[in-house]
Amino acid sequence: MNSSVKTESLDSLLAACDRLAGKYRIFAPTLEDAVTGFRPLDAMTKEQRKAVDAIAFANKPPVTSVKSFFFPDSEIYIKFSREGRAVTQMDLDVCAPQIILGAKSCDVRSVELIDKVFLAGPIDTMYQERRQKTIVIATVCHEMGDNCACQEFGVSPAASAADVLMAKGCRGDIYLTPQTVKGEQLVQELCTVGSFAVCASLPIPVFDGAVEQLVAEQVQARMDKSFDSPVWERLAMTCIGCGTCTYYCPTCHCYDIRDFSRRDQGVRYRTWDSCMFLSFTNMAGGHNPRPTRADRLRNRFFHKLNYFVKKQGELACVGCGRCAELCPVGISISSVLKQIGSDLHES
Amino acid sequence: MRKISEALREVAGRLLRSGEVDLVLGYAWSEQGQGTVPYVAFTAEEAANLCFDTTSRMALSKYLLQDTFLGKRVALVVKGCDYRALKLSLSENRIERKHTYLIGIDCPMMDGSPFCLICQHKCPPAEDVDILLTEADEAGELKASSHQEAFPEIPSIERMSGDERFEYWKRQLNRCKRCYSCRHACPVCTCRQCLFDRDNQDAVDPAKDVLAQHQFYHIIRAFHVADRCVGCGQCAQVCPEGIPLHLLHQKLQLELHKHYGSYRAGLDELPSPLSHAHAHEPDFFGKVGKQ
Amino acid sequence: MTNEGFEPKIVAFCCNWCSYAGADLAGVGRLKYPENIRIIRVPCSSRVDAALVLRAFQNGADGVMIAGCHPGDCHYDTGNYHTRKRMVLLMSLLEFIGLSRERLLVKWISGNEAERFSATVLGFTKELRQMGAYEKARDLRCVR
Repeated sequence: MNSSVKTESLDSLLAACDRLAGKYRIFAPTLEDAVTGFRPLDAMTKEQRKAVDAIAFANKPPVTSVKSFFFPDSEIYIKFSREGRAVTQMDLDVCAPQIILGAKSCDVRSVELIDKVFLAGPIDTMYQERRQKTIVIATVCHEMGDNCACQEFGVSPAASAADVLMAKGCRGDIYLTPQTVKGEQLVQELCTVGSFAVCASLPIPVFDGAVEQLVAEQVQARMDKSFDSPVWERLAMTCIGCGTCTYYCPTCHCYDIRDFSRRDQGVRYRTWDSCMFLSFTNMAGGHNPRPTRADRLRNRFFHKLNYFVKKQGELACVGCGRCAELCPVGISISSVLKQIGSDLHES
Repeated sequence: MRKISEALREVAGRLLRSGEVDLVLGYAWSEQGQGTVPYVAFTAEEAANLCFDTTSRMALSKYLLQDTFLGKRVALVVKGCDYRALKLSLSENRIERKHTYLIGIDCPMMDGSPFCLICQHKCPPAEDVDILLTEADEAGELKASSHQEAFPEIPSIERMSGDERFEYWKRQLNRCKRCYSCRHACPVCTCRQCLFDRDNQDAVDPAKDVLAQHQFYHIIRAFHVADRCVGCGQCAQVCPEGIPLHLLHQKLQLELHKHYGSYRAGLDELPSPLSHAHAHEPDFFGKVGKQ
Repeated sequence: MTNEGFEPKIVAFCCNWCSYAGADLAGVGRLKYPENIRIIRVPCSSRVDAALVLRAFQNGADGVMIAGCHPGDCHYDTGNYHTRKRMVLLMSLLEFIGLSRERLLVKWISGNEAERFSATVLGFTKELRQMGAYEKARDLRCVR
């Protein structure tokens, strides 16, 4: 459909992006206090701009995923104020068009998965607006990172449905290949503000298919059989019940709705919540259907590997490896799958 | 750490075979291959997975407060800092000593931990544990550094101007996602109902994009564990965003020592400095004096 | 940076037995002190913990004052010993984290020290007018 364009360096691409800063908010992955994450390009220090190269083209995603661009960790959706008896609803800031420069295949895929939740009826209009206004430029991985399991979950490290694919040639030149209408428009815009040349696409790195992809229905069936397995109690013994896995997982999407008000003003907002917290299923009256850590752990993995398959036909994991890297006690979806598998073989 | 690991496996196997304990809580090599993680062995076969090395950082004593461990006889692997935290729980009657078999470890320094540089209590007292394992042929004492050498960030932050300090902590705290890993990993953060879990919406607000709420959480948590901190370093270790919140706790420790004398949680007799107050203590707000 | 006509909001936690009585006496004696102060009566100054102070700043206070009995005179014997212990630590931590320790004032004011009360409020108000509005610990979602 569309051919690629290239520019001589990442700096040149970033400079072109700078010229679009009036129209878009542009985010790129970089380092802040030794932690990787996406930051606005126009707020980066010189060092952070230099660091974009290494992190955008690393063979693993940054610590924070792209989910917060579509589903922010806190989002006000009603703002009101009162004068006497009159209550007025105030206007909210409109989401500006944004560009994510340097997402990875796993994260791109994760957005497709949560699209099934937020863009199915009733449509989540806040999510939808952000989705429509965001353009994703993804990079490819050339090898698997230490904790990566993307291929097992059907994600190709070297290909994704991002709006634009970005690759780096051996001389440091940057290739952009648009894959959607939005992507094509952005590339054309970039070409008008930067020095780009039309060219042939870079070859996509080939992964030899040595990794066996999991079959969603098989995993779902395995999970069904292990609902009463002692493996959940076992895992719960070392789980500390924090919310790290849920907040850093690119497909976890549970949220809480809260009000915050002071006298004559207030907001209603939604904010990430974690099923690992005891209070997650607390009900009025004091009942909690998931009172033990084992209950909550089991629920999380069932959501990812069973319920989501039943409802949406897919496994809700993209193998990004964040749970493996960040869990303080080393529980990850891969280790759970291993335990479920071996547990069944024993019985 | 070969000697300690071997001795540990031997002790654990023996305890499980004889039925003296229901389970052994220690460390094993992580499946992700990133060091050791907490591990529970129920059988002598599983005991063979136990090991202990310089990545065995996680504090284990807190697990004994969990419902999954209550009522069980547990053999617990305790290194110095963990032992101190356990002592606190014992003195608060949260755990019964008779239900525990303590496998004390003469702790080597954990990889990359500034806390270990200033640790004065790497080995639990032999008389307080049921067995003490040491790597006998490893030479000598840990070289103890000064607090400043271990935490140079504290004097460095103190040298900043007020605005610079604010910007520094604003940048750090804005990354906080309130995952509460710090709270869950801390072995002395043991309240049955934490302030931040209360449903009262006036008490706490879970918004993650409001700096004032992050300040509130971190300052109050630092206050609540101020005189209980045992210097295990887990709070900063587990933080996914690399926020150096251990500096807040260490700063408070320094202030406590400065004004009220040295107090080592879990080692010194209760009451702790913040649970009592006396007439003879310094008055900072007196009629004539300045703050 | 200080706006013309900026009037700071001060939240004052006054202990029932001494400082609140002192404030009362100031009122009875028609002593003038600025209206910037909002008094919250507590049974003892030690009722005030770090959370209350931070909440006051979050909700828009530009300064927080804690007034209690003089050490040795606490109605509950040892309450104010706890207050001073706690507050000196809070001030150090506030300073360390980049918030202003100068905006937290702890003062011992007894029931008959009406002038001391009004002078303290006047002095604190003047200082805060100089320091300006306090945004650093403010929850900016509801700004009056």
